[in-house]
Formats: sequence, structure tokens, C-alpha cells
Amino acid sequence: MKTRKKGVILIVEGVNEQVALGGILQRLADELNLRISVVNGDVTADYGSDPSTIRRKLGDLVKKEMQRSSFRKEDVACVLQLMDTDGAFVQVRRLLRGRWKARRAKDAAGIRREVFNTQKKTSTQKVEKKLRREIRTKHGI
Amino acid sequence: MIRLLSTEIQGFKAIGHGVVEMPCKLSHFKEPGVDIAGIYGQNGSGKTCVIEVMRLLRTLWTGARVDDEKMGNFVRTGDERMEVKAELQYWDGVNDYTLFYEVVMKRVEKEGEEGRTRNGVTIEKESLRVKEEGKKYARKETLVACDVSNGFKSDTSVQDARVRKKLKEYFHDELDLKLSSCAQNVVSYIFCTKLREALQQVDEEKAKFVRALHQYAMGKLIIVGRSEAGLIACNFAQPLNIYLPGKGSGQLPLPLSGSGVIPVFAYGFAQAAIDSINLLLPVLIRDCTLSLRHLGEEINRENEKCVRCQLMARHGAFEGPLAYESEGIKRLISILHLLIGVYNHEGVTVAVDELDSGIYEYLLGEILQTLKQGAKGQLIFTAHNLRPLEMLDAYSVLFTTNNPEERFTRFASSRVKTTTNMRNMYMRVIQLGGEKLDVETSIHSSEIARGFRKAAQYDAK
Repeated sequence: MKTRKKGVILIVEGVNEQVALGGILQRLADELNLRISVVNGDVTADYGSDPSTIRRKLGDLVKKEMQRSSFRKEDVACVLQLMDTDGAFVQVRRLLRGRWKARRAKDAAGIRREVFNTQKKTSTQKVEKKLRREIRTKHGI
Repeated sequence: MIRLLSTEIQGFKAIGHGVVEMPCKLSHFKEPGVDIAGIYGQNGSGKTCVIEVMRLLRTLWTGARVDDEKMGNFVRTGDERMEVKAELQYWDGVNDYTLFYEVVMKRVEKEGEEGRTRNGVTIEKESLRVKEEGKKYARKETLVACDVSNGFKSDTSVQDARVRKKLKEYFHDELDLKLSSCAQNVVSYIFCTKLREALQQVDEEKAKFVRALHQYAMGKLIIVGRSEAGLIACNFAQPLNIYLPGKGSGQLPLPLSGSGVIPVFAYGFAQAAIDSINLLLPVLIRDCTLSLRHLGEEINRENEKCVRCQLMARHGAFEGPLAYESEGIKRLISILHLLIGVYNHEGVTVAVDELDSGIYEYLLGEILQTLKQGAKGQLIFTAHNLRPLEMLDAYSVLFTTNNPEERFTRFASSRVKTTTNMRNMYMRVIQLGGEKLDVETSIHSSEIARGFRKAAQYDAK
């Protein structure tokens, strides 16, 4: 008889990550006698999150998943969180100001949020190319 | 009184081998009243097979014709034979016996329509043995055993030489002819009318057991499959399963859409069952009662006196045709009289496929809780709703495993403590394994989501 598996709670930011990674990671985890429970929880993008609430929010996510799967504390081998940084660690001096002004406006879905307005009507690639060139010249890279 | 102890199945659809033991076998009758067996498991893992096997046993024991085309297709792919063994407890008022019934069916090709061949079965071996309980050195004694695997030879087909001799005398040396006619019609050798009558004449003592089992199958072993749910779903008929002690049991299809005509005797039975159902139904579904409205008398083609009637449902002050009620209510009504039978009468065995279909989870749990506490009869059911796991004891719940060669298992009673929630325990085990059960699931939500997407991509191509 095989021994009882351990559960791994994997927190990802959205359904795309879940679809892309969940199945494949489970196949790898099978060899290690683990079962992966994937949870969607983009806690960092939540406007209600701040350093004082983030621990509780993550804790709640884990607790809820444990309840849903009827896992006990000793069943959980670890909790993994997969997140992208969304540019949070870009150095301030590398940020461009002025050219891409953020403003509050309705987006395509009609939701009011911060949108970036490109002043010139150029394609994204062109703008990026231009930006890179500007950064290089400014910092002498 | 007869009680089912266990059923052993081999080579039947999804079941390579599996034993379904009733709680009364485990506890050896120390705790009557908790003889409920619920069968749980994934789709296609062989739950319904158990009900089908019960139906097969019933057909054999009543001496009726087996649907051999269906059975031919039910023999597990790759196997040639299927085997069913049943163990029953028989109390004749004085002594306690255990009956062992065994049947082996072989898949054969038969002639179908328009010269095509089709699958069918023949009964190859059949035997009924008995053991007296409470007796020192009691042995299994063969009552009747037929083995026709080598053809219908009078000197080998019935195994007990003494019985064989007597039967041959009774049938004037045409015993093999009688047996081959049974085989032709796929009827049990032991329970066909002719052999039963013959046995009654030649050996009264042995015939007693055969008769008891026959009567049990005729009146007290009741099977409710899924086909009747189909009748309800298309508003075709309202099957009313009834068990009236001393009078009989069976399924009455009552007219559901509009009025219909049923024989007078059926009307009487239905009316009696509905009267008793009405005492319980308002408790289960708020203020709901049933009535069978008498709309006049008619004579049918067979010159039988019939009654034109319509099923009505009443909610408080409002009455309307039952046809417009929800499917769940109709389903509950169809089995309610059997549950009343199981609760009140010893020696009744009811097998229901998908007991939970259409029934409110809380109600299902409470019904099972009540049955667990006081039912005298036996109930075997399959279900998907896991609420009963919180209500029943560990020995009342069987799970289908991933191993076809050992299809059924249960939690060890010692592992399920008074405070354990068996539903949570099961959920945990199917995900993480353990508890010595091979019930782990391969279902992952991520894989399902991936599958949904892949399928759409394929469709778009």
C-alpha cells in the first residue's frame, strides 16, 4: 500500500496560470507522492491589500482551501505562492515620467481604472523601441 | 424469514471480483436494525452493477426468464463467464440456516434478428447449498446442484445422486429434456416451476429451502432501477413501488399525464399504498398529499373490469395533477412505500439505484438517519450525494476501489471514531490516499480546465 500523500497548496494569480501549470505540476508531484491544490488568489492586485492585511488574506486563502479539500494541518507539506512582480521592483530612476501619463478613465470594458495614454498615436512596438533608446541614451548604457 | 448476508460477483461489467457484505453478516445479527448498505464511488466503477446483480438473482429465484441478451453484454469484456454467489440467512421458526446460492453464466453467441448473431448467456452451473447454524460440525449440504457444462446428461447434470434418481423417476427419464428446455429459455434450473414442483414431491425437506427462497424473491426482494426514473422524466407513468405485507409487492405503473385505465385489483393496491404514503408524505414535503381520483369504470380489451383514474397532488388547499409536480417529488413517491416497508418489516430487502436522485440533501440524510435507528428490513442503495456518510456507520458504507479485482471496500470501523466525520474522511482519502483503501481519484480541476480549453481549440480548427 502506498503511504498517504501530502498536499501542496499552490497559490497562483489567475486561471491562466492554473490551466498552464496545475496539470503539469501534478504529474511531477505524483512522483514525489504529493497532491497539488491550486488556488487562485491575486492578493497583490487587490486594492484592499496592504502590509497590514496581506498576511491574514493569505492565511484565509490557505484555510479555505484546506477546508474545501478536507485537508488537515499535518496533510499540508507546504504552501507555495507564484506571483509576478508587475514591475514593483523597477528602480525609480528607471521609471519614465511625463511621457506616459496615467489618468483615471474608463477602459474597454467600461470599468474606471488607471489607463495610460500614449500621446502619439504609434504602435506599441514603436513606442517601446523609442523608450529603450531613450533609456539607453539617458543612462549611457 | 430470509435475510441477505452477502453477494459475491465475478466478471460482471466493471466488476472483476467484488464482495458486497451486508452489515448483518459482519455483526452476525447482534445489532438488527442497522442493515443498510450504501455503495459509493466514481462514475463507471460498478455501483449500479450491484443492483443489476440483485435484479438477476431475483429473476432467477422467481423462476422467470433472464434477459439473456442484456446479460450477454454484461459479461465483462475479456471474460467468458460471470459468476454470482449469494449467502442468505434463513430462519424457519425453529432453526437457523445459511443458504449458499451460486450461479455461473457463460456468454454464448445466439441467433438474433435477421440471421445476425447476438450475445446471450446460458446458465452453466447452478447450486443451492445449506448449512445449519448453531450446530457443532455442521457442514454445507448440497440441496440441488446442476452442472451442464458437459451437456445435458441425465447422469451428471444434477449432482446429488439421490435427488437425481428421484427426479429422473418423477420425470420418467426426461430430466435432461426438462433441463435443456430451461437452458433454452434461460430460466433457473432449480427455481423453474417444474423442478420446484418435482422437488416438492420427491424431497419435502429440501424443497422447503427452495420454496422459501422463491417466496422471498417473489414478495420481499424488491429492486428499483434507473429505468423507472426515465418513465417519470418523460411524464410517461408514475411507477409506484409497493410492499403490502401478506398481500404482495411490486411496481404499479400509474397513469401520469392525464387519466388512464388500470385493472380494478391494481387500483385497490394503489389506493392502499397511497393511503399509507399520505401519512408520511406531508412530513417530508410540506403539506403535500396524494390522491388517486376515481373517474369511472371501464372494460378493457381482455374484458377485465378497469378503473379510469388520475393521480393528483395536493399542497394545502390547492390540488393539481401530479404530472406537474417536480421530478424529485415523483421520485420520492415512487420509492416511499418501500422505505415504509423496510422500516417496519423484517425480512424485506430493498435495493435502490441512485437513491439520492432528485431528493433534497438534508431530507435524504434525515431519512437515512431514521432508517439507521429503527429499520427492521434491509436496504441496499447506490448514491453520489455524500451526506449519508455523515449519517451512517462505517460498516454501512461501501466504496468502489480502483482495483477491478477487489471492487468493494469499507473503512475499518476502528478508524471511524464517534467524532469522525466520515464525509470529510472520504474526501481526504480520495485526494491523498491512505486508510488502506485504493479509492484515490485522478480528477484535478486544473486538468478539467485544460481539457475545456483544448476542446474549444479543437472545435475552432
